[in-house]
Amino acid sequence: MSVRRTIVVDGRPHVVEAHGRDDALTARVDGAPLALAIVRDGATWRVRVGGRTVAATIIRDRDAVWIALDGAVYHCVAGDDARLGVAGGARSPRVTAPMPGKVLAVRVEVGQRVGAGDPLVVLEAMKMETIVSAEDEASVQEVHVAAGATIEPGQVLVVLDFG
Amino acid sequence: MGRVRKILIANRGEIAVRIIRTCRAMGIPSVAVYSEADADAPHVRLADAAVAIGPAPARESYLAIEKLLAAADASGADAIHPGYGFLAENARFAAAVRDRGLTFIGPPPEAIAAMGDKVAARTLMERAGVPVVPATPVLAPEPAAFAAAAERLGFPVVIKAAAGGGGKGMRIVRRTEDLAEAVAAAAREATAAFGDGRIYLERYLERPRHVEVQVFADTHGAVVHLGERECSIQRRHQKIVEESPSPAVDASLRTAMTDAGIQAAAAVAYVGAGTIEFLLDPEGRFYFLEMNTRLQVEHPVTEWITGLDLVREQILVAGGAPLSFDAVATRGHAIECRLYSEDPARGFLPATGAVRVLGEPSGAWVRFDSGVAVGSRIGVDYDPLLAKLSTYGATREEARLRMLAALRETVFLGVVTNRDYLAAVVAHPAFAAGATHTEFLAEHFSDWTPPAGPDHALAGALAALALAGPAARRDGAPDAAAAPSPWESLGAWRPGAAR
Repeated sequence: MSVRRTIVVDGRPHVVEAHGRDDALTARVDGAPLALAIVRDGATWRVRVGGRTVAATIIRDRDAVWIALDGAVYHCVAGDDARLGVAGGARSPRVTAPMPGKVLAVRVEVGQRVGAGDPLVVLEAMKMETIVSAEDEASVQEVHVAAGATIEPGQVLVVLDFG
Repeated sequence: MGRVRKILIANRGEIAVRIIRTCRAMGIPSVAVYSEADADAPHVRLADAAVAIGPAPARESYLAIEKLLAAADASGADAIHPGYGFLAENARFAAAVRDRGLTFIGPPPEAIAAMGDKVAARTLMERAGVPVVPATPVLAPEPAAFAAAAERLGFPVVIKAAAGGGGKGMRIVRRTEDLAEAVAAAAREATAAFGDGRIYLERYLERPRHVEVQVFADTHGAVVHLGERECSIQRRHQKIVEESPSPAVDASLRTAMTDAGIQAAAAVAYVGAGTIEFLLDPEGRFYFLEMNTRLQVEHPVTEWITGLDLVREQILVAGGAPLSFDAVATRGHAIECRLYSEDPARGFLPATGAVRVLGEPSGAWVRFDSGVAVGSRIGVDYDPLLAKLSTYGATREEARLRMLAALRETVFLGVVTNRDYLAAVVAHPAFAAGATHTEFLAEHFSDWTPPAGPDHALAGALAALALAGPAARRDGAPDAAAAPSPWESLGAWRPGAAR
């Protein structure tokens, strides 16, 4: 087996390479070598690493992997699908839903000018309201949702033009 | 009123499970109700009978009074336990249950109504000689009215729902220019949560402790207290860590606060379990906040230090029995943590998913009240409370260290939880020192991010290997083969470990 891909572990991206068979694997995480031997038994993997043996519980959920290991829980997402796993960086013109839920109100219209911190859309999930605000001064280019709509995380709500 | 023979639990989640367990221990048949989202929920499996009451949205199921009454009729239940939340503090529901000839396991509707209107309750408490925080009556939800009132009271102020509780509809405001949006949001949230959009304004005390007194009253005129709980560790006014006793309350303050609590309960002819919430300032002055006319989420810490089963006492009192205890001696210390399906790394956004693996903590002086099981889907229709973990110790420090060990044993795979955040709070030196107040999280944890686990790189490597195999089921549902005991991943299994 030979693997090379970006894995985001609890929001932190790592480049992972692995070569070999389960009983003798050579992995590199961001270039640092890791010698592994694995015995898989369903979701329980017995892993020999660096002179110790640990049991990990590993669950795959589409392109995400959950790992319980030595009292810690790790949530890993494949790099290509890592959008939801990494904290947002630069301001984005596409304002997306940070969580699943319902649109309570849309506060802007196409063409409207907004200032930094102005509310764009009010969302509700689990009985709490969350206000999605503009990151900076902008004009509203597109509005993609209406009050009452059910939304998925990552769904585009509003498109802004920061120009 | 007479002895209760069959109880319908008008609730879901961990509290429904917890109430059903007491019913079983008392030999009383229990009836669960469930929405379409909860058909396979643990409370449904545990009850002796279960009745479907409609679609997932609470308004059409757990808040639908007629459906609940019909379920009681159909199942032959003669009593209804409302749990907490949903209809627990709805006087109309309590009255409807009574009018149907059934026993409501809770206070009389008149007491719920008297305390449920937070503004009327304040007036009542002032008259009963219980200290209260300066506030306005209900105001029209207009920014101008609130701005004028805020000038009089002095910033910071807090907008509250007249029908409120649990932080819903509550907004702290520090500047006039923020009032308009906060007033609108608070009114909307209050309408959504309670069906009553009335709001008012109160002076906001900085850095108080939240200390509450548990009272219990019977139908024969007895009112007693079961000590206090401190619930200062709050995020957005939601309690996440609670304990009893409070590290800030000494014997003389305890006497003053519990006396006030008993006075408050007596003023509304209270019956059953109730909680009087106070804010305690750094100078040791305390102010009535509100009375919760129901069982509290955090009641297990009181059960730990008193040795009582509060649900059992509720059921006995509802059946007309006198209290089975009077002045209760407390001993030791208990701490509770609330496990929520929310993501601390992403602003505590609600997290959804399916519980694929669940490692439940256990051992001496550890209690885990859970409303979910392997296979449970966590949706957006209800509160994100997954489970409550409580621990006991002869001393606070013993209970605290036991909590840290038990949190480490608590493993949810498939849904993001606040477990590591709770552990960081309980491990914090200020928490260890008992230096808690309602701004604790804002002061110490506003920029908290989850630390990278010790096996971060290894986890990344294992994830890459797991993803290299054929895709598992794509619907995210649990599959039997993928639900082993998570105990093996807790670190105890280490044959041949060479370190």
